[in-house]
Amino acid sequence: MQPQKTAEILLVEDNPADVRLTMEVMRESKMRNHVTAVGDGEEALEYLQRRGRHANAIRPDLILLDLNLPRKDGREVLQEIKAIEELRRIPVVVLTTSKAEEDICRTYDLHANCYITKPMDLDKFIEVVRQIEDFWLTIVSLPDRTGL
Amino acid sequence: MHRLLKRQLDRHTAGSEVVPEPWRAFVDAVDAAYAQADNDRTMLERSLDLSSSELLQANSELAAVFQAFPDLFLRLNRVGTILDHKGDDRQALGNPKRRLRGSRVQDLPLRDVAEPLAAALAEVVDSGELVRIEYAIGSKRYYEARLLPVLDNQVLMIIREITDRKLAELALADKARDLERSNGELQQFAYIASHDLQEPLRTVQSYLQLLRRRYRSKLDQDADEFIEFAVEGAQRMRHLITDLLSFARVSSRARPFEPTGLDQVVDSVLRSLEVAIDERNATITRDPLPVVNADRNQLLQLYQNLISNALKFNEDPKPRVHLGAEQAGSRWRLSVRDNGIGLNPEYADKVFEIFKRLYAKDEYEGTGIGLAICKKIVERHGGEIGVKSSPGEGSTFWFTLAPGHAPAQGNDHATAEDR
Repeated sequence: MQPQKTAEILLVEDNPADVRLTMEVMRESKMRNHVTAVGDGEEALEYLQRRGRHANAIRPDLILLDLNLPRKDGREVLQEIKAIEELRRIPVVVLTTSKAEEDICRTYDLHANCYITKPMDLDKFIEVVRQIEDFWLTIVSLPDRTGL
Repeated sequence: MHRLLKRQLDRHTAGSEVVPEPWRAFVDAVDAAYAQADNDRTMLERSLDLSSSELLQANSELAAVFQAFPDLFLRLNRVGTILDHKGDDRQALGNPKRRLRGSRVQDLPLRDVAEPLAAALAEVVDSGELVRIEYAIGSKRYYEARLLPVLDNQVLMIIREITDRKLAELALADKARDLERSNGELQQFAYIASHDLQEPLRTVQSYLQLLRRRYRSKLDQDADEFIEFAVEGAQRMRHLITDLLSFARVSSRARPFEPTGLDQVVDSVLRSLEVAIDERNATITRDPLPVVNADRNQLLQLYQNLISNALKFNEDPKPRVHLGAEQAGSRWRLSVRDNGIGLNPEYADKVFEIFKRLYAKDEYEGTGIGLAICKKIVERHGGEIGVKSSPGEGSTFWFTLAPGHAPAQGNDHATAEDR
């Protein structure tokens, strides 16, 4: 077995309290991970395309994307990621407070890999994060990191 | 002999009274005819006299009627010339300076008046049927004009002032609009408040839980207690917000009514309450339940709330809940009866008020919104809701709903056997 790599996770979320909470929960994870957080859609795309101050960004293994973001919102970010050949294979997990059927349909139409409504309860949130990691970083087979 | 016949005979016989024999029969016949004609004429004259006095009488009555009405009566020809009028409400015509007789309605001084009346005249001439219109002078005075075709291609136009009625109507419509708007705003407010409150609350709750998770038993006993109170407070607030949101949704997520089988509704409620029912060792029985005209989702909520309450406010080791249905006039009267703790009849109305709780939180938990939601649902369906109870005697919550189709006579037995 190969030694476990550190999983690179990009968290696109504007609320600092939510960013910190997700990071804290990630810290409790068994899996070695490194979370980078960006606060709006523009910056997320800069990061992914290694532009400007994110010229040295590391290509993430997983993107956690909130829908309601300032400047460019999550739906636009999702649409752009899935339109860029080098980025479209990175799994995007939409993690948001919305339960609206409309949001769910729309994000799947934009090729989100999955849609998760953030649970209100911390224990459940911890469980959800663990499941995301297990599923997307351990269970599924993804193409090798190439390109970028 | 009739005087006219005599005068003629005199002319021919030069004063002699003698009628030659061969003419006798003829003259007698003529005389009889004259007498008959005279008689007929007298009769005719008498009856003419009579009918003209009746006409006079009728005329004066009509004149009195015209005077008694505040209405303005105008007789027009087809092109709008005023032939005649009764009543003199010149204000209704926009105070024309010219005399009315002989002028045309199209030429009345105010456009507010001339235009609608001309249009109505054209319509009555065209259709030959009664036309009713309303017009306003400077949105201060309101009038109603009725035009009807009469003999000789003429049109009778009756104008009445309806300002008082119209202003009352407009004020009422204004009030209704205001009420609707403020209702909508309130609805919006409740929704937004509860929806937008969720976000910061989630943060508070999550971090409180994180604090508890990381620091329980690592600070002192006071800290543990404080954190516990804070966590519970946040939890309760979340329940309140969720309930408030579902209260607001009774209106905002309302769906149209359709025939809804209550048996199926109750089946699915019982499925979702299965754990609670088993835990409490409860028995749920029911009458054959009807089909009602309703929003299915809301009835699910209604039965869910009432049955949960029946189990919650129940100290009996074997809680029993009975779901009843009986016809009450044209509606169904449905009920949820339990053998629970019951309540003081004094509170029978209060329990349906929002946030009204009869028990301390540590006795029976809850937000006090469940029955308010039930009431709102039943009222949205045009029904009534109430409770009959006394302490220790159990409670019967009842509500009325309209049938989904006319309930057929004697159908109840068939349904009972089918089940």
